[in-house]
Amino acid sequence: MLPFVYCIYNSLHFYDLTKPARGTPWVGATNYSLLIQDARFWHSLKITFYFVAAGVSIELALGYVIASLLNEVKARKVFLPLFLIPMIIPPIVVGLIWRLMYDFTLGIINYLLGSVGFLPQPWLGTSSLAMLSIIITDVWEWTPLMGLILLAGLQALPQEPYEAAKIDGAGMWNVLRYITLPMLKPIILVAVLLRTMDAFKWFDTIYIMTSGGPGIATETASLYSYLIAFNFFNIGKGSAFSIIMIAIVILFCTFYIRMITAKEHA
Amino acid sequence: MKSTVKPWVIHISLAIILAFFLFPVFWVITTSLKTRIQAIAMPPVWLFKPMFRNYFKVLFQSPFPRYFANSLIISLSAVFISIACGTPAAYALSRYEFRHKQDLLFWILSTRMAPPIAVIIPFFMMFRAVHMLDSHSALIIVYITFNLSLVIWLMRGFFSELPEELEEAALVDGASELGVFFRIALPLVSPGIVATMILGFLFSWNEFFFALILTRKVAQTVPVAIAGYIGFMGIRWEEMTAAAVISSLPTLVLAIVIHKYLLRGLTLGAIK
Repeated sequence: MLPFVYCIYNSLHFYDLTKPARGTPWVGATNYSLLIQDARFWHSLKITFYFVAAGVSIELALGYVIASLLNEVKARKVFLPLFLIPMIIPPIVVGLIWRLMYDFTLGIINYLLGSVGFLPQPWLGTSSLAMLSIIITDVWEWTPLMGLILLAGLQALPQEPYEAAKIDGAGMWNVLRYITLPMLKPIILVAVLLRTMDAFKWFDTIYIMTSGGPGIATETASLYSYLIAFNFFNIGKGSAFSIIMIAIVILFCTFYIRMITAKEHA
Repeated sequence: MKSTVKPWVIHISLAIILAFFLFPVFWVITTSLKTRIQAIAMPPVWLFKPMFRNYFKVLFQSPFPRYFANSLIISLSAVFISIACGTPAAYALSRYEFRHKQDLLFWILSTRMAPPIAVIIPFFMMFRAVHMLDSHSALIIVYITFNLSLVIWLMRGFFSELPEELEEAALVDGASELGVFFRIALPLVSPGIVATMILGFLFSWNEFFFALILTRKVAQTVPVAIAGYIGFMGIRWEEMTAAAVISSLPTLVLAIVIHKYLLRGLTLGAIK
């Protein structure tokens, strides 16, 4: 609790570690208005939103495919530990691995693409591709988690509705649409909530791969707030940013939980 | 539900998906076994004589062992302190009713949901004020805060799964409440304790953000050192990858040992 109060206190004061002579006078909401006028701040929020939305939805879709495939096979025990590897490796190492593979001249990805006739792409070098590359990396790192959560959900489902559906002659698509997804909904919602929160604060891998570049093309909110506080040493403005981020998280959670409960009552 | 798709189709699609997830791992391991020339050769060298010189270099001719020691000291201390403080707290939360219990539980959980930047600024300013930046203890304190919430949530789940009758029987037989905790509950959840400790170790070992901000030289941990190397020496891929493999190995082995509990840990007990 104390750190949070201290954060609000800092966000209402001028606090710049590079200008100790100016002290830390009370400035009211100046830090917040500085942020609101800062185009880079809005850009970072936009980037974060884009990244979280794209990353989490791809992970959900791909994770569901993996979960339902795993649910069908007996050799699950062999596959499972292997799927765990990407999320256990330190995120820093994940960034390192993908940076190695994305490399323009020496990277294996451009080589493999080249061998089937594509031109080499500057994966981390242009604004349009860098975001995509970052999302691919996130999908690689966290889809297995999504898959495992959904698998746990699938295995806990009762069998009776399926037998009934089989007798009624329901097709695979209808079974998925009217039986599996509705029953799986609570677990899907938990998984999406968890991944969204984590993606929102994702820092390590992006820091290693692009540090927000090229330019500010992949500068997420967590990266920009870090730069403000610990590269420009503007503690006041950084604190204001972090308060805004907490507010976003709380707002998101509230709406999300309300959405879940509202739908259950309907 | 058994679908109508042929089993071999499912196995092959799984294998293809798995290949996508494992190829990067394969690639980093092979790169670490190459010479510098082979590592940057284009087209890539697929067949080569593996050599361990890069590992030797990282382990004996670089400052990396010191970073490993730092990471070990910090992660282990944080894990042991959190387990020692968190387990009794978790037991209390699972067995006793008191006012505002749900609020307290939610508050503990919120330490995980808060954006790290909101946590680090106050910590940074406090450690700066007491001249504790770049010390082991600063990082240990920060890691305890997030390990504690992990321990409390997970251990509470493990305790709730124990049948209360056992403890009641012991109480009837004249054991004290403390005795019940130490002699009955604690031994029964020991697999849970081990799993929780490994998970806590995994999170502390892999943690980067707080370590980046709170350490400079003395207490630098492995992830920060790896990140520093990338900027500092250009990229010596063959040595970098060897360091990366070494730093992933301990947690990888531990995590696969407890993979049954891993999901539970990563979702803070939301999914068992």
